Parts: sequence; C-alpha cells; structure tokens
Amino acid sequence: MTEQIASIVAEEQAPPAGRRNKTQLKRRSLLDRLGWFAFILPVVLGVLIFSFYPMVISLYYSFFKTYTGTTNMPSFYVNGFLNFGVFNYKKLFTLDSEVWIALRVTFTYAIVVVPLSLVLSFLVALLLNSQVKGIGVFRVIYYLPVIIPTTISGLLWADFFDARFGLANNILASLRLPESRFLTSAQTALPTFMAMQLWTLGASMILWLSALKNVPQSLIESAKLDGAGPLRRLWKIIVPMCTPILFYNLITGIIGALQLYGPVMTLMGQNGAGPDNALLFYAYKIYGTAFADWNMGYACALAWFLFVIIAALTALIFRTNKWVYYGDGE
Amino acid sequence: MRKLLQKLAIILLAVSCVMGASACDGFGGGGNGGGYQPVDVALDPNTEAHLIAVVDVDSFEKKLLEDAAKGFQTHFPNVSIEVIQNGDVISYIRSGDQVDIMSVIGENVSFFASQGVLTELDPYLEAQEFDTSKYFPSMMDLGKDTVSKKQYMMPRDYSRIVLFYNKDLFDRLNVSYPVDTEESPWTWEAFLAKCEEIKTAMAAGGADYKNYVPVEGSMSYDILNWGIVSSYGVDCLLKDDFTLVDKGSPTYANWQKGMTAARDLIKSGYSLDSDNYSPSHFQTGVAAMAFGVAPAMQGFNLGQINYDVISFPAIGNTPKAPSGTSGYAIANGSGNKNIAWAFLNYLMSEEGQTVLTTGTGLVPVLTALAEDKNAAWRGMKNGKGNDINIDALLSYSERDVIADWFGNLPALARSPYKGFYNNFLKLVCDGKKSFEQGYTLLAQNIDQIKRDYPEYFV
Repeated sequence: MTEQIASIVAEEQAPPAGRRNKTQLKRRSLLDRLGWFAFILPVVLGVLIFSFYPMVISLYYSFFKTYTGTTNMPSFYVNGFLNFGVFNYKKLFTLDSEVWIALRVTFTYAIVVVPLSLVLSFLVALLLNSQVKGIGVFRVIYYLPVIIPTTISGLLWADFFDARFGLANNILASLRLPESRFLTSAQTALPTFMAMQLWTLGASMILWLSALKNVPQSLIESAKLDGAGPLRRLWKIIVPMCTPILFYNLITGIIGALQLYGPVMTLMGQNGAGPDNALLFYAYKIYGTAFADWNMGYACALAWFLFVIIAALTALIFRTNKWVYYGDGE
Repeated sequence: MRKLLQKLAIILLAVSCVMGASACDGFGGGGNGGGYQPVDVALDPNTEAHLIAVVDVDSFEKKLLEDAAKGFQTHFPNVSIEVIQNGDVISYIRSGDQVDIMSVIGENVSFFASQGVLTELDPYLEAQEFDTSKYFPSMMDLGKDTVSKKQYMMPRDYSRIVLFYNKDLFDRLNVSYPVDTEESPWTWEAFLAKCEEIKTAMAAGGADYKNYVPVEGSMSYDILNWGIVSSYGVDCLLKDDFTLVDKGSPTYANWQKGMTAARDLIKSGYSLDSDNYSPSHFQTGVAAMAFGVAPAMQGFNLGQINYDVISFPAIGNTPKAPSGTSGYAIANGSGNKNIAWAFLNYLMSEEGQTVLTTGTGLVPVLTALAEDKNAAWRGMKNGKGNDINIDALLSYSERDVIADWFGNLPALARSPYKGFYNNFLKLVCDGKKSFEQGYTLLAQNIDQIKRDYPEYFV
C-alpha cells in the first residue's frame, strides 16, 4: 500500500516529458562545459597558484619592513613579516642609491642591446634568406648558440674574456692591439657584457626569417618591374611587411633586457655586480636583497617597481603601434 | 571518443583535487613536526628510524655523509639515513619537508639558530657527558650561537688557512722552499721576502711567466683578512652599541695596520685584486703559493700540482691563523632528535672521525686523532703522489681565530653588516678607497641600518 502511494506521488511530482528533456539537455550541457573546464583547469590552476597568487602575496609582503624569517607559525600565516607600512617604497625612492645605479646599468644595456640586436638579427636573417646552396647549414650555425645552456656559454665567455689568460687578449696581442681588462674593469665590463649578449641573436633571427618567408613574392616582383632597387624594396616592402615580428621582438627584447639576471650570475658568479657595480643589473639587485640581505619585503617592493616600469613601457609601445602592419584593412 | 576524453578529464580533475588536498595537509609538517622530545642518550641499538640529512649541493659532501652513515649503521642497524643535496636548507624546511640532520657552515650557525631551524645541543651534551675539551676549541666555538653562546652545531673537521706552495714552480724559478724553524721562523716578513723573490724570478723569466702571480689569496675574503687584522690585536670591530670602533682609538689604529698589510700585498704585485683574483690559479700552476684550507688539496691534486704546505705566516707578537669549518646540526622540526643526536655523537667519536677524514683530505677535529702520527687520515699525498708536511695543518692551533669580528651582533643585523663589511674590504684592499674613506663609508652604512632597522638589534 505504502509503495503504491509512493509511486503515485512520484508520478505526480515528475516533470512532463518536455521539461524532462530540457533538464537532460541542461545536464548534458553542464557536463559538456565541465568537461572543457576540466581540460583547461590544470593550466588555470597553475597560473592562479604559481603566478597570480605569488604576485598578489608579494605585493602584500612589499609593505612589510622587517623579515625575521621565523618559521614556528601556523601554515598560510605571513611567516616572519613585521612592521606594515610604506617604508620599503620610501627606501627605494629616497634612501637606496644602489637602486638608481641598477636602473642606470639596466636601461643602458636595454637601450644599446635591444636595437642593436634587432638590427643585427634582421641583417643576418636577410643574408640567410638568400637562395644559396647549403644555406641550411648556415642557419643551423647561427641558431646553435641559442640552444647552448646559459651556464655553459657563461663559463665559455668567462674563459674567453679572462683578462690574464683568455683567448680574447691573445687575439688582440697577436694583432698588436692593446690588451683589455674586459670584465675586470668598470669601464669595459658593461660593453664586454653587451657584446657577449649578441651571441644569442639567433633567437630573434629565426623569427625574422619566418617573417621574411611570408613576404609575398608578387609584391617584390611588382616593385622590381616598377624599377625599385634593392634598398627601396627593403625599406618600402620587406620592412613594413615584417613589422609584426619587429613589434614582437621589440616587446620581448625590452622585457628580457629589463629582467636580465641569469647571464650575469653565470658569468660573474657570486661577484655578480662586477667591478664597481658596473654590472649591477636591477634583477640582480632584487636577488641580492632577497637572498644575501634576507630583506624579503624590500625585495618584493623592488620587484613591483620593476613590474610597473615594464608594464608602463609595454603599454606605451602598444599605444604607439600604428606603424605595425597587420594586413589589409588594418 | 570526445565523451570518453571528457570523462577522463573529469576523473583526472577529481583525483588532482583529492591529491592536492592531501598534499596541503602536509604543510608545515617538516618545520613544526618535531614537538617536545625528552632527551635520551641511551637508545636501544635496535631502534628503528629513517633519518633525512640535508647537505649542500656537493657530491663530496653527500658521499662523506653516506660513508659515515654506513659506519653508524653498524651500531644502529635499523636506522637508515637518506642524504639529500639542497643549497637552501631553510627554504627546504619551510616547504614542509622532513629534515633531521643538516650540514651548516660555522658562519651560518647564529643566523640559522635565529631562524628557529636548529635544535640546541647543550642538553644532549650534558646528558651524554660529552667532553668538549677533546676537540679543537676554535672549532667547537664555531658551533655556538654568537649571542646566546649555546651549542647548535658539531664541527665536522679541523680546518684553518695555511699556505700551499708549488715545489715544481719554485724549482723552475730557482727559489728555495719556505721554511719554519727556530732559526728562521715563518713570519709575515719572511713571507713578503719570499713573495719578492718569486716576483723577481718571474720577471726575469720574461714572457714565460707573464701572467703568473706569486700568491693566490683573496685579501678581501673576510676570514683570511681577519687572520691578518686580528694578528694586529683587533678583537672586534664593533662597540657595545654595535657601531664601529671610534676613529683614533687603539683598535682603529691596529685595524688600519692590518688592512694596510693586506692591501700592500696586492699593491706590491704579490697578489691580485678582487676583480682579477681567481681561485684556480694555484690549481692550474700559475700561482707559486696559495692561501687555502686542507679540503682545497683535492683540487690541487686534480691539477697534479707537486705542492707542500706551511703554516699561516706569523704576524707580530700575537699571531693568528684564520679558521673555520662546517658541521652537522639537528633540525628543530625533526621527529627523531634522539637518534639524530646518536648519529652526531658517532660522527664526533674516534671511529666517526676516522671515517670522515680517511682519504678525504679532511683533518680530524678530535685532537688525539689529529695528533696521532699513525692515524689513517695522515696518508695524504700531493698531486704527484709525494708526501706533504701534514703537521703544518695542525701546528700553532693556539693561534686559531674564527669569524668573530662582529662580536655578539644579533643575527638579523648580521646579513646587512656582512654586506657592508665585504664591500669595505674590497674597496680598501683593491686600493679603490683609503682606509679612512672606507671606514667612513662603513660607519655611515652601519649608522643608517641602526637608524632604519632598530628592530634588528632587539
């Protein structure tokens, strides 16, 4: 009896066939969406946990003046950070003269190396774009330095530019040219380092090469028929057609230059700042503040200042990107 | 197929969430899991435990401790010791991983203790009735916190700076070997005379010795520099309020003398400034002499250098010899403190010390074993397989001086002080600033840190 009553109630409460189908569809659609979310969730979680969360927490930490490092606190608590305030930012702008040295070194490097690297890699790409037998071998040779690990190339260059026993001074001596102190003098350390960084221009070169391959031959042929010389064709057709890659290389080049750290560390070891702070790059300053001075709050403030600079520069470049050619109608 | 993939992705997501949640449960375990454990130094040999020991990223350090662990297992067969290499042990502990034993260099003991990651060893020493007088006192002092004077680390070996000299290079230059006898004691003056002799001979050798250098020694390396400065009678560079000693005080005058002696070594062309200094000049045979510690002999042997050793040159009437080593400590978060202490106690025993020092280039910290003429560790040879003057590694131990130039400066202030001091040493030793200028800059830096970070000094 009870079962009968229950089945009648259930029948009465059950939605009509149309509604049932809709519910099923909704459920399927939800399952569909959940499935796709599941696919992207590992990446989203990764970004949230390993990029976004550290960024936000580092902004919070940047307002703590003192880092004691004590560990006997509960998990997820702000371990060892004391004295909330704006002291670190005051120190950054008014008290710490090294910050401005680091900015000067970093910006000098960026202003010289980024354009030079763009021009040289473009010229190399132009050469490697020619239809010569065995050109593939040259392409590999130019790209090879990019796949050599930074640590290995750092050690090689350190040996090459060793002021006392390095090959560089031997070459200069054999050419009867005056020897140089390279990385051991405040005057020559940064130029030497800049020259070394051009070693990896193969990375930009490969992008230029792909852009050059996409320049329509019909345009080149038309220009030729119209009597345009090689330089005119280069300036009026090839370069404008490659501006998206130029734009990309410019943005990544500036960001990379302002964040430069690894090559300095591998080349100079613990003495990463070089003679008289000649190689005190901003990122190295952040590292030293965090892991040599154990001043984590101040290191976070320094990192955020760099973030603001990079964001502002990137925004400026994006706002002035009218010179970039994205195709018809752009 | 698409549905199958979707289902798989959802299952994967669910599994990830469960695993993530279970992993989160472990946060803080390694750092805080120790809790109170009553001291017990009379453990049952059948005690079962698995210990995690963290050493620096150095295969030598790893093998050394693994060999010692094998010896320990003959006494505690049910204890296994896993040796892990990690260059940043504090971060490793904070990440929640279990650590029982950790390698710590003497200079870091106070800082590590201030971070709360080390276990105080005094209760164990007391319960064990451990006789610390059987060890080189300078090395035992290295294991103490500079402020509280509590023991946190047991030294691994006896290590202090001596002078190595390349016998083949001396022969080629026709320069006699340095000697240390009653008639001609090995003093700083004798050392300078030897440097001059070598420099002259190298200059006479022309292009063959163009880039050679009489002595490899970084004068701005703090502990080496301190050996020179403290020989002039300087005990501490700071006053009681942690500001620099007063200009014009006797300590200031003696400090200046020491710094001048260090700078003159570079100025005279006997050694290289910090920009040109390389720790491999002796190993590659281009430096005639080198300041170094016993473990450096491994590198010299790889370079097949035919070297011998003499003690650190005696400076003035109160000569000092710069000393320092690393050792082992018990992590504060360890859940196996008693068995970890048993391992440390084994390392300090004659058997443990023999394992640590035989064929490794290390000198025992146990005085009796170090002075035993027949001990196995004395079988050290140079890069050409020749005997070396082992006694020079031990002699004049009363001259030992450790890195105590900041006295009982609190641990939090040590990092910035160290940074300023190292900068001062470079500037003055390299001749980029006079001692007075360097002193003024250092004093300003210290005053600023005192003004800006008073909480460091509490």
